[in-house]
Amino acid sequence: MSTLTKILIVLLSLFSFFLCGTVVTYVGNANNYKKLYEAEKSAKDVALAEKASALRQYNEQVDEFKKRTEKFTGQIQLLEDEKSKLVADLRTAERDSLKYQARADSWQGILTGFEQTIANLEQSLKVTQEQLDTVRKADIQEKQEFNQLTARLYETLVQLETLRADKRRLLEEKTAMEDQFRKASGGQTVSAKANVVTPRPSLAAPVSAMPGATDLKGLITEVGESLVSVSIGAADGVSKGMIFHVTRGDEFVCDVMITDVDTNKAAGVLDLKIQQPRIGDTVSTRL
Amino acid sequence: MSSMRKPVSVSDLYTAILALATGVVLTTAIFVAVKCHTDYGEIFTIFQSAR
Repeated sequence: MSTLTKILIVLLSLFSFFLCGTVVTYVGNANNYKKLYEAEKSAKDVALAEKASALRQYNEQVDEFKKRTEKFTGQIQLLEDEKSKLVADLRTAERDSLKYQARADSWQGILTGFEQTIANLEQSLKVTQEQLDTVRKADIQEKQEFNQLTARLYETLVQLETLRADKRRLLEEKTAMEDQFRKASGGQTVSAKANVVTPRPSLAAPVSAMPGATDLKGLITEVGESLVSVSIGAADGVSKGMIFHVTRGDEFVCDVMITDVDTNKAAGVLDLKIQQPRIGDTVSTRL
Repeated sequence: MSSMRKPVSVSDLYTAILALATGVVLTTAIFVAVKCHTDYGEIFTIFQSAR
């Protein structure tokens, strides 16, 4: 055996060992592509099934979406109609609001004018009330003077009537005396008594004093700022300076000092005023 | 007659090496065949995907 043969045997053996090791290593580590293929095929089938299911669900959802879209489109249309109606109502309400606001402003101006007018009227009423009180006071004084003049007139008339009666009586006495004188001058005897028919007037007697005005009672008939009128007067025994107590039920209201007296009524000023007297309150000299 | 003489092996060492290499190759071939049969059920047929 030649040396070359030996070398070739050794190289062939080494190459065979190396090649066989490589082949064993590769084959031992190689993947099982059949299993991988089957796994991938199963995954593909599952994926296809899932795709079909997803497609079916997609179609169902698309159908439902279309139905909902149609439903919502109808609702949107209804809402649009309602919105248009509400917008129209809103514009109408805004116009009404502006109109009512204008009317409110107008009423506010009118109210302000009324308030001013009322203030002026109140001021005028106050002035008029004061003038009325003054006029009433003057009226009371004039009535009092009128009553006094009337009383004097009556007194004068009574005196005049008395003088007329005296005149008639004197004329009758004169006539009777003249007749007696003629008869006496003619020789006839006549009775000395004259035929007098007019009676001798009696002398005026003083009026008996009024019963003691110890418990006079009346009502308030008029009320002013500081003056009141009562329903009793000189005929009931009221005189100047008297003080009446004004009561309302069981409550004391004020005092009234009489300043002017008429026949059937009197007037006075307020004193010890606790409340404002009113028409119909009771006045009395004793509580 | 000298050229017809019986060859005498020079050494059994190289014969053993060749035998060992042959055994290794055969073992490798058997391993590959068993592996192919285990994984694919075939030895020489190329696997075809079923479409």
